[in-house]
Amino acid sequence: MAPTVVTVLRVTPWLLRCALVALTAGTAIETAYATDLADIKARGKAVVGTEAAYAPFEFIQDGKIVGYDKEVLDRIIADWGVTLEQIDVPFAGILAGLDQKKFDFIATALIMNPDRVVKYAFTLPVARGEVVFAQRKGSNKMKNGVDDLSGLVVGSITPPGGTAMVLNHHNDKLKESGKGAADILRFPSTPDTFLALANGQIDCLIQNDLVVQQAMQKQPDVFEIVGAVGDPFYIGWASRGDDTKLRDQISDEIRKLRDSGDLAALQEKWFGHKMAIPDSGYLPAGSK
Amino acid sequence: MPNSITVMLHAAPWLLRGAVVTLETSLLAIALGLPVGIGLAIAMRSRLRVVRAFVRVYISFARGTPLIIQIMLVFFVLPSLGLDLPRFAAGVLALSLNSGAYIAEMIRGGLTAIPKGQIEAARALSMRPALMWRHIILPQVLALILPPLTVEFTALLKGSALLAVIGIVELTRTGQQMVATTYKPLEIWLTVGIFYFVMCYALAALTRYLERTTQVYRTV
Repeated sequence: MAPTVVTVLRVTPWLLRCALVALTAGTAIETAYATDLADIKARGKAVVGTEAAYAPFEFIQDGKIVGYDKEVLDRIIADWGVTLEQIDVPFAGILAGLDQKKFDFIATALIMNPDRVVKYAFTLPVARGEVVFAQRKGSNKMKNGVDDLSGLVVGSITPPGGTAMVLNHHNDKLKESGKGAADILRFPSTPDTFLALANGQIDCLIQNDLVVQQAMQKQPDVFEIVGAVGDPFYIGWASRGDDTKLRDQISDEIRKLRDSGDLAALQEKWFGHKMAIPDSGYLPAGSK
Repeated sequence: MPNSITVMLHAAPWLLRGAVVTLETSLLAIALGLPVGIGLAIAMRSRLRVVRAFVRVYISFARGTPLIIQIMLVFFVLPSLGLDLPRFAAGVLALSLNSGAYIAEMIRGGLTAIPKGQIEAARALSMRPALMWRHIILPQVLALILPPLTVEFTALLKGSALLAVIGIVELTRTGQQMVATTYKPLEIWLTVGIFYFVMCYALAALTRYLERTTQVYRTV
């Protein structure tokens, strides 16, 4: 008997068994999803989804998720007295993951826009920002301001990103007067848009001002802000639309942090300024 | 340039962690995909028309839809049918179900090279099909299809990059994370490329070794 193939055949059932054991062991560890704080406490662990590619809100440093949202989340988790399993998911998988109950909630900077708030339950805001256009420093492509997009290639992240939706509304309005963008290039994540802008593959990009400022700090003299589009907006986290109880429990924690001044201190640390977080009126009409 | 090398050296240990996850998922998927492929190849020759039809549809689907869609289906859609797998298991399952379809087709191709006389001889000796597959058909076919199997396994290893979409932080996702914070795409992606190349090269070298040691089975 030639040994090798026979060996392969002999080990195949064994490999199959190992793989099955590994898979089922993995399954056993995974626990049922939580719909409110009682569930999370009973399990002793909160499972949270985050897209860690949105500095300074959430990003990866030396293999760990860090950033403003992460520090807020850590304080909430500590107050609840549970452990945290935080999963880094690309934006394309994060809302689908929430829908399919892969996480209890998502702690990632989400812009509260009208399309989104009807489907997901948003927490009390953690930050307030503006949607801005940024271009390469010294470029004169947008010398007439944010309404002058004609002939330009604009970079944006793939919908349902909050800024992508703002760009769509803005561009549709401009198109009617013949001043719309020549082309909108979609990227899977925010860092990609900054790289494309630095490389000259796009003329400008649309993004949350807090994120643009971080990029300007990390890469000095590369980018500049052209101006803001639309009204300032609030940024919060979200739970499934049906889990408003859990959402309220997270909001309570954010409110506590706001009232104790911790939230303002973290905003100062990560954004360089404080933001007013209101108790109500931050959600667009028709929201959960 | 020395600066670039510093960036690559700094990134390497983190990327290595991602590479380990890539290897884990890929090797498990190979270990699971091979039996799936063998099972499908046997089922393809079933006497029952409904079994053959099922296998045909399954293989067409697995080969005719993007792997990323299959990964999303396993992770995001199976839960609504009652099968809620954790990320890692769902990722490995999606890869091996996909790979199994390709392997089954390779085995089907390899089967045509087995002389009919061997199977007739086995039947004449009233050998049970299981025994015939195990001792006569599979040893020869597997040895014969080792070259395309190598292609399939390297394709699977590279395809595992798509697992990032369900939150498995493998090599490519680690690369994305590092580009996002270092703003050094060239250095990071180059290092990621080197890691993939080394893994695929090792896999190919292993199967080349297997090819040499199975010469004896290459009767056709």
